[in-house]
Amino acid sequence: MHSGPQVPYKRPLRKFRSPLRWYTGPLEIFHMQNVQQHLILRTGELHTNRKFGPNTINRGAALFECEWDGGLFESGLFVGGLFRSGQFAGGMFLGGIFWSGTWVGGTWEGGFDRAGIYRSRNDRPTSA
Amino acid sequence: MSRLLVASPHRYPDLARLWHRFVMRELVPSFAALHLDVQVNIFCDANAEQFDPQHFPNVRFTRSGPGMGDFMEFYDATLQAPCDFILFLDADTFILDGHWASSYFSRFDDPRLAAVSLVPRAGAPAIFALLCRVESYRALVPPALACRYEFPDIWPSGVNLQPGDFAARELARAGKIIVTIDEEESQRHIVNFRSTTGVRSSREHAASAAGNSVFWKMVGMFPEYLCAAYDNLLLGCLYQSLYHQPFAPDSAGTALGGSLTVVELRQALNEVREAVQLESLRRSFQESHAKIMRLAGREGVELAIPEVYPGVGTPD
Repeated sequence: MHSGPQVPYKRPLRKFRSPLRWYTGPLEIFHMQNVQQHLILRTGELHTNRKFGPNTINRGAALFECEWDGGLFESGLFVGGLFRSGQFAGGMFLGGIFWSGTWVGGTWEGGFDRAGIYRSRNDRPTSA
Repeated sequence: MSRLLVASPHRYPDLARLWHRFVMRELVPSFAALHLDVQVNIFCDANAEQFDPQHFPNVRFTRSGPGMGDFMEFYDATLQAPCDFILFLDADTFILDGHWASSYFSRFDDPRLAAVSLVPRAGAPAIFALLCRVESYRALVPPALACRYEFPDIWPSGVNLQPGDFAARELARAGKIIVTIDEEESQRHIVNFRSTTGVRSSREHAASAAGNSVFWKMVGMFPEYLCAAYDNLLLGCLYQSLYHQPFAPDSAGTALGGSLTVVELRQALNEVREAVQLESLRRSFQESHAKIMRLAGREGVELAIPEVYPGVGTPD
């Protein structure tokens, strides 16, 4: 019978990402918004590793590992990623970091507060 | 008499039935033979009304509520249960040799020992099958077992700790020991699948929040979905063989419609073009096929497994 190491535990940085795990990992970020224009995301769209600015409105798209900074999230799916600022008014938040912004409505399926502490289903953030 | 709680969060009662079957037959008698008072706890993370107690004799059910909002909070909340040891066992992890697992219990004679990780992740302790001394974990600042994101201010370069990682680190700092079974030994005695619940819940979430077409895009983008869906297909074959009911059904009752049906899985595989990815999938499927055959062998049943990928299920 062989047992593994019993040395002090040091965990490597996570490189692997998958939507099937709780994650919000290191990714390349693209800026796709133009501050002069409104950008409306719609049902059926899926975006990964992108940053959306204050001119963005989400109306049903799925966002994986994206940064949301200032826009209006009306509906859709936010998985992983960073909700830096803006309004979350509807849709589902799953596994991301709610750094700041206004929680108006929607489904908090689980995620992290700005301290990185996990907040369980329905333990939605208060507006920051 | 010390008390051991075998505990697991479940979202779907069909998978829980398979899990329960192996736990009651392989695990509980072996640990009870050590003169432990063994209890089994299933946390219904969702669909609680679908868990028929008649299908789960000698199980204590818990449901989500204050302090135990979901499966992630379940881990820490369970540390407060009236017990001395907990075996956290993932919903899709099957210990085939209870005598082997229980043989590690004597390691707790060492007061420094906090846990035995029976299924490692990349050589490190993991919560997939974690035999814990409750006292050691209760001494940590809660939440100790839930995942967390360290250094969120430098996202996306922070560190995402998986369930149990934070506790493992804090215990090591406190001079405690976690024995991590190496992968080769673990695989001799344990069959574990990955993300079989995750793909089902992802389909639920994606379909409800962003439409089913987005789920299809996710399947095309992340190969892990195909692996998990194939595992569900295999578990479904075992479930069908044992209970004569569809596994992972959708709302219409279609078998595997809550994961990927056989037709959908074939279609998704047809859209994979890269040879490297195809070979990786083939290897994963082959490994999973071998795992399900071990479970079927333990049950003494033969499985009718539909072919979704040429050559899988035949020797390399």
